Amino acid sequence: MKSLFWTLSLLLALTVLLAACQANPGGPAIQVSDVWGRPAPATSSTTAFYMKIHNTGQADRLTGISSPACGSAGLHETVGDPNGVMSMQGMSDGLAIPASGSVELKPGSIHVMCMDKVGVIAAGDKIKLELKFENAGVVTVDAEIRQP
Amino acid sequence: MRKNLFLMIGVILAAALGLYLGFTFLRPYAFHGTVLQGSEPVKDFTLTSMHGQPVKLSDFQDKIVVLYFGYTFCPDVCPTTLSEIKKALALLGPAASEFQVIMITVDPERDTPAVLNEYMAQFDPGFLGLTGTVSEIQNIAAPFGVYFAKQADPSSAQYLMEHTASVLVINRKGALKLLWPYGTPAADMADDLRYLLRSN
Repeated sequence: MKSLFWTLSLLLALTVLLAACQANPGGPAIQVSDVWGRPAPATSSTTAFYMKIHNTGQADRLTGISSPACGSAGLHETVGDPNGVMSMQGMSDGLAIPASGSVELKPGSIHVMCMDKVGVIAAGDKIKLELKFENAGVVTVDAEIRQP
Repeated sequence: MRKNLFLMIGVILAAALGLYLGFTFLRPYAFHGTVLQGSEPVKDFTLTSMHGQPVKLSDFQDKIVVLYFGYTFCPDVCPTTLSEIKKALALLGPAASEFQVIMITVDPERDTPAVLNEYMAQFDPGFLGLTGTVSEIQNIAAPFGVYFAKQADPSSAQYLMEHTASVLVINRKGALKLLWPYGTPAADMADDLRYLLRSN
């Protein structure tokens, strides 16, 4: 009887602990951090943006990106073959963000490609990006422009 | 007897130190990049510089040339590589002046001298961009094992280029010496360049 009491107490404690571990309860499930991009002169029509996407909720998907600084923007993945030939692939199905997981967009990998860039993007600028998620809706972030 | 013991310990310690120093300083340098052993100079070529002037590879005989084939429309791989080269040269300090970084565009249709000039300047004013006709650039790239082709991008009206993204190093004798695959960190490039300077 005593051991049953202790088992139940332990289970209760574990449940409380697990609930506490779920970061940011009630807040937005998608959080985006370390958003940055490279400077690009007026003559250059592209640049790339990178970021970390954290998801504390159910599985989600990044389906679209837009920015006033880009005529269009999309997700691209850089891929290399064994001969060192690098190319980019558009990710028309978007980017899966796993439940309680995170995804990093980084150089040489998945990135936001900004096309038909508007004006000059200089180091120190903040560029607004609108990220469209299937479940979380639109998340607006500022990309810090810097040379890595 | 005691004196002999000390002598023996001294000899053993000296031998151990000698072995350690020998292994540390005398072992051959292991390049981070792929070493290319051809001692024949690469074929000279002439292209148009980002300043609109004709430039020959042989104009840089007094430098070690760090050569890259890229394009300015490239948002990810090319700027990542050029930034890494810039960081490597910064690690070399004043010795950086012994090197000439050259990017030959694989997209001459869009990369006019003016476009190249602005693009290269954002990395380093000393970096040189070169352009020419598609066939001229293909003839230069092929012997280096560098491939490039247009790649349609369904998400935009613009095209992309797929291209070999390795960086090549040509020594002062004009021979192709080293290849760094995409993603080689700046510190590794700097180690290799430092060694080339010492041995060239």
